[in-house]
Amino acid sequence: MNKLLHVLLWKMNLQAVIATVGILVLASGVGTYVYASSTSNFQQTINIGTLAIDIVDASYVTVASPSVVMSTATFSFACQTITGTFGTASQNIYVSNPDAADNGWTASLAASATTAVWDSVGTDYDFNDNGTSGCADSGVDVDTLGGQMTVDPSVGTLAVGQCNSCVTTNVTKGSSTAYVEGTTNSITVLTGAAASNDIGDWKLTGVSVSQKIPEEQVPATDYDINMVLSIVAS
Amino acid sequence: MQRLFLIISTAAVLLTLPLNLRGLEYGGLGGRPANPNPAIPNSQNWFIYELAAGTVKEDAVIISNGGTEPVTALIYPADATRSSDGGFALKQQTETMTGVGSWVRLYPNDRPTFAAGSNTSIIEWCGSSLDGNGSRANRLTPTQKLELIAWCRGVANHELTIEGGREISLPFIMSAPPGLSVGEHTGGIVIQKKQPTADLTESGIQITTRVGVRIYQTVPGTVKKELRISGFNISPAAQPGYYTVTLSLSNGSSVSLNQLSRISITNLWTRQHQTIERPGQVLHDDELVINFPLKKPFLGRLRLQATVTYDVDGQPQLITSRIIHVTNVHWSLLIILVLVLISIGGMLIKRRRAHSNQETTRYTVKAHEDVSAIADRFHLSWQQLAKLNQLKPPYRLTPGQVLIIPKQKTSRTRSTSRKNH
Repeated sequence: MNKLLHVLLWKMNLQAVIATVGILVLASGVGTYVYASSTSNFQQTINIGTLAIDIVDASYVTVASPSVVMSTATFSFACQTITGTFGTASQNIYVSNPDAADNGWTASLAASATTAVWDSVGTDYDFNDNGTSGCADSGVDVDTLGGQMTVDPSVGTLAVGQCNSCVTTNVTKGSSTAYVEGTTNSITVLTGAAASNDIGDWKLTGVSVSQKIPEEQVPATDYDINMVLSIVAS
Repeated sequence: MQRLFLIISTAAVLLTLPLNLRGLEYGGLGGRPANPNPAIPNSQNWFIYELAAGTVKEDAVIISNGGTEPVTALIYPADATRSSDGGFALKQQTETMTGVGSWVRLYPNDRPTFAAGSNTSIIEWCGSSLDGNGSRANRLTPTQKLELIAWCRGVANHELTIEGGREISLPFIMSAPPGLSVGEHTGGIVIQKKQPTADLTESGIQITTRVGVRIYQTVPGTVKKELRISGFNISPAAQPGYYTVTLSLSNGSSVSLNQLSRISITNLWTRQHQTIERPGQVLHDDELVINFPLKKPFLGRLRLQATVTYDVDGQPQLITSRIIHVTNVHWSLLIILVLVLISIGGMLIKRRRAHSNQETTRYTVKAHEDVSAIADRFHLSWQQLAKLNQLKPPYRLTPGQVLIIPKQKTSRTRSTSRKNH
């Protein structure tokens, strides 16, 4: 071993050895040296982050194309309901507040347009029409389609995310609400009160989504709708 | 050999860096004001302006991507809207903007070449009406001025891609239109993630996420702050076993008001008491409807009243609702009650039938006869006789008074008397 070290030192420039050892020590964090000086002034700034909402997997990695899969329905002469779950183990609703919204925040879910519909090729049905308990067109909105979606965050499971010292206190799940065009275009999913953790992250799973399908709705396998999950600081 | 050591040491440093960076954790797409004023509370989170009608302000929004992957985002201003439960929300890009969402113009594009590198503000180049007639415009050629006019219009929305860990400052102009009413006008700037279309093989919902940064524009002037309770009701909830308590608050003033709603619930039968609180903001000229879920009691009569507190120029204001009552008996108790009532009813019917089957005869009281003598005569106890004839103490009889006697007793008396004869 000594012989090997001797050969290595002989082969190398002494200054390079000292520099290399120094870099390795600093990089590994094994030793920390503070040189005493009357003018020493160590400063560090950690900027606040920005409030964010996302759909992440169990490892907190953003899901590229998040979606909510609804239960299948069979053609019926009567109005029927399909259900789905927004927020799953692989697609968590995730709120991150890195000291960016001390007054609290509101997370809400809305369709990408108030005139949006469950769209399939050649046939659609509505998501925000409360005619006949959501089963038929009310005539209030511009389209002539029936169908209504209800979102119930209150049955979901709220948990702290990666923050070990955080709590879910003062973070409230929204109540069960149905979309009604012109009246309820946006449904509150989560609310962080001012007293909630200023630095914290939370994840929500198991939000119930149910959709009334009008009677005699044409069968199709590709009904879909675009929705937007928003967060705004209070 | 020397080079080899340098390569190894450099590699060691590079390998160590990611270990330290893990502490950054999640970082999503977000936004914040670029020029917060430390003297104005919350200006690090919101754009807070106090612009007189007909004036403009230049500002910028910082758009950050705290993640590691590039993200394409759509930036647009939007009017404020109300979410369920009174939450603050911003309109979707597809909706028509009539307020703040229509007063903000974005300036993502480079300035015209003749203005490039200039530190002069957009307003100075474009003028307060953003028509290209700013103080610098007089020195321009007609062609340059046309180019400037086009640029000064700005854009209503902008799509950009931000590398991971980067921030971009996007300038914008906020205008307070001439004639804008005194008071507050709210909206925000939205940073919406542009996501690839999900490949859904089943019926489903495609989700996009976005973050909004609020804009509070207040036109200076005298404002009246007043909140009133416009509705307070209770109704069965869609979720079994729950009521929905609905409280409606109307804000007729021209500024948003922060309030704390408190529902006080007392079970008058069990004397149990609970309070539900919900803080929130009521936007100006708006009605906030708050739904409180309330678990139905197993048994009880509930008394509910709402109190709302809000602040007017440092003075706390308190308003109270009407009192409402609701009675709830759990279905299992109702079933037991119905069964008990059916049982009692059945017993009464049975007894009445037994009574009606029991034939009676009449007996006229003679002189010097009393209750016990007549009872003995018909083999009855005096109490039975008194009860059957509804006689009251001291049970005196008068001659000629007619008494009801069970027939079977009279028959037995007759048969007994025949035997004796």
